[in-house]
Amino acid sequence: MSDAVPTIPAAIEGVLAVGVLLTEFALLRLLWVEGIIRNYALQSFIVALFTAAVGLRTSNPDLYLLAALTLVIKAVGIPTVISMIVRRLGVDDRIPASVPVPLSFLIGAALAAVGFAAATKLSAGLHPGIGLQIGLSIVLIGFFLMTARANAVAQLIGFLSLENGVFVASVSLAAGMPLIAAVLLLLDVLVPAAAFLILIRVLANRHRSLHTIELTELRG
Amino acid sequence: MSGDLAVLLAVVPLLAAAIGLLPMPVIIRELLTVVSALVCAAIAFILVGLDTLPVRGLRDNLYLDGLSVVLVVTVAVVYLLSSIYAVGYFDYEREHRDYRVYNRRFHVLFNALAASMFWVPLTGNVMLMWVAVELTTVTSALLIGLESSKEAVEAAWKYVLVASSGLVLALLGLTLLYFAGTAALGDRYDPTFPALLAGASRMAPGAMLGAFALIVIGFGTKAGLVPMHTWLPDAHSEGATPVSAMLSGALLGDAMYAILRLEPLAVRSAGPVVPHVILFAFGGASLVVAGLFAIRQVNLKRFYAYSSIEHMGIVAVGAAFGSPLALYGVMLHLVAHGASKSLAFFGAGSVKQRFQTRDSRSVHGLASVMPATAVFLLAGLFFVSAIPPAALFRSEVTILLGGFEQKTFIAAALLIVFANLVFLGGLRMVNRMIFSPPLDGQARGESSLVMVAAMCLAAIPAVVLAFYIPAPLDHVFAEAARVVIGS
Repeated sequence: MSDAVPTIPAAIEGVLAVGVLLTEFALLRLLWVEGIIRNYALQSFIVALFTAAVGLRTSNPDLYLLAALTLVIKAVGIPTVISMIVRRLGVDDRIPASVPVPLSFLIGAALAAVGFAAATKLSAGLHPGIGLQIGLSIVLIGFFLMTARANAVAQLIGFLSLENGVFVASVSLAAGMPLIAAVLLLLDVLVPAAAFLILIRVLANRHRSLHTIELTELRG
Repeated sequence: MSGDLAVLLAVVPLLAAAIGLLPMPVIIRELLTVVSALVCAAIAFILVGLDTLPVRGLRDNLYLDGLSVVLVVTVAVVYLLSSIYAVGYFDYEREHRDYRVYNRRFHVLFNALAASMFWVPLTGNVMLMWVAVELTTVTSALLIGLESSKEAVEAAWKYVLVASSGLVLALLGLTLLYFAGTAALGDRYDPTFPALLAGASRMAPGAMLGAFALIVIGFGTKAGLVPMHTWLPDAHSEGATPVSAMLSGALLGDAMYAILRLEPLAVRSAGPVVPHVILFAFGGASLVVAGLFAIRQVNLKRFYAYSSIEHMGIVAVGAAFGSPLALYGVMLHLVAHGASKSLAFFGAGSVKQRFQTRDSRSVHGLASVMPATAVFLLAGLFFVSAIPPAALFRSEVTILLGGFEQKTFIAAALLIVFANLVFLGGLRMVNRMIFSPPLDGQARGESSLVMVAAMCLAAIPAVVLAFYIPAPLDHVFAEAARVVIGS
């Protein structure tokens, strides 16, 4: 991929990876629960397409399967379950922004630049393609999102989107690794499942609002 | 043969978890966990005596060398002690209406946690190791979330999100490591330790250091290294006490294991300086910050959680010293910390069950109210703070001597000052709990003989290892130090 002119499959991958990054920025903009859930579904959909595109380039059938499962689990399953939990409990739909949206965008852009620069430096002479750069940028923005939105659902989505970033990076860096599909699939299923179980308990404790900013009793 | 035995370490607790799903009297389920832990301890005992390390099998997906055995021993000791302690600890809850349901969930998750904790040091494949560490996060977060208090559930929420975010970064580090390896090992290879180590000298140093930094940040989040430690004091103090012991005594060690395991790769590819600076930076920060926070605590379990951060800082600094002597000390430290921290938490937990409060200021007159527990509470504090005759004293001195050998005096001084600062904070708290006059009408007597017995058992390795390290164990420690140095 060191060629000046990328091949067509590589170009498709690049476009899709940029799409994932753009949806990450959209997460910074949305301040209502249903909105970020839908946006996350869209991001996961693009991640699934990206995975399939890498599978096509490297002719790795494991990745097709992973793409299909990602589509089912992340683009449909997880968003549906979160919306269901949120609606069932009648949670407040607004997300308080402890960092206002315009500033969030500026910080997001700066983090993306840092991610790109760091990834380029890390992979000096190795030509990993755009996946690592995009992935690292998304990870940084995901971390920021988790700290900048004091709302349990927004934090969960921030974490899941961060996971999408690592997903993109892993698929493009280690497409040849045996087990990669299994490991990433586990990441798709396991952590969200545990997080859901605990989230429901958080809510069962009569927290009508999902604002984690109320978690003040556990400090220092 | 020894390979099959090692696999049993993960299988036996898993089996206990599966059987625990069946309906049975609560006490049987509790004893089932003890039996599973006893079997695991016996296997660990046999593995220490093996003179054929490393044990390899399943195309190196099973890989057991000295470093693995150190962790297997740590996990086995803490698992056994906590499972015994749990029998007494839940005495208080047995009459409670919801206890039957709780008991089933608790033991199934507890054994599943033990299985995944054994899995971490048993596998030679870095990706499978990562999966195992992530599994420990999920099972232990659910265990903490089982507690009914609002604080516990919030602690579990914070834990699962923060620790998993860290581990996702570690995964990024591991894929970068894999990618760096493709130059030396081809596009498609199994990322096992022996394969990676063989190819490490031909991997790009820049990518390798980036990968190692991500790995330290990622697994360091799980090990509670500062500044990624924010979840730890909550998670370790809000869970049931047997869980606190497992998390602090053994699970942190598992996370440090992952870092120690991958360090020789970075050293071989990029030289020792940068990897050691990275370890020293996080370890030193942990020493300082945990020391300063620990002295302000009034909740004893929270205090011990900060002390665990301190001890993982010591392990990281010891690894940064990088000499065989310091690393020998690190290995002893991991095992001794497992036993000592279990003892410390057991003491704190017994008091909490009896007084039904976490605030040490509401506890008075332990010396006359529950004298045996008071003795172990004080012993726990001394042993955890590495006051002689504690095994941790020996390990810290060994690490320090290793540091002096390397002429890293500033780091050594830091270690001495802050490790003792923690002790002073704890002494103030425990002194008041034990020696203040008891409140009027406070009933006397130990909370449970089983808990006292578990504390007594925990105290044995926490002291004996200071005077006597059995020859096979000594051999394992030396072997483990060699593994980390990469020779």
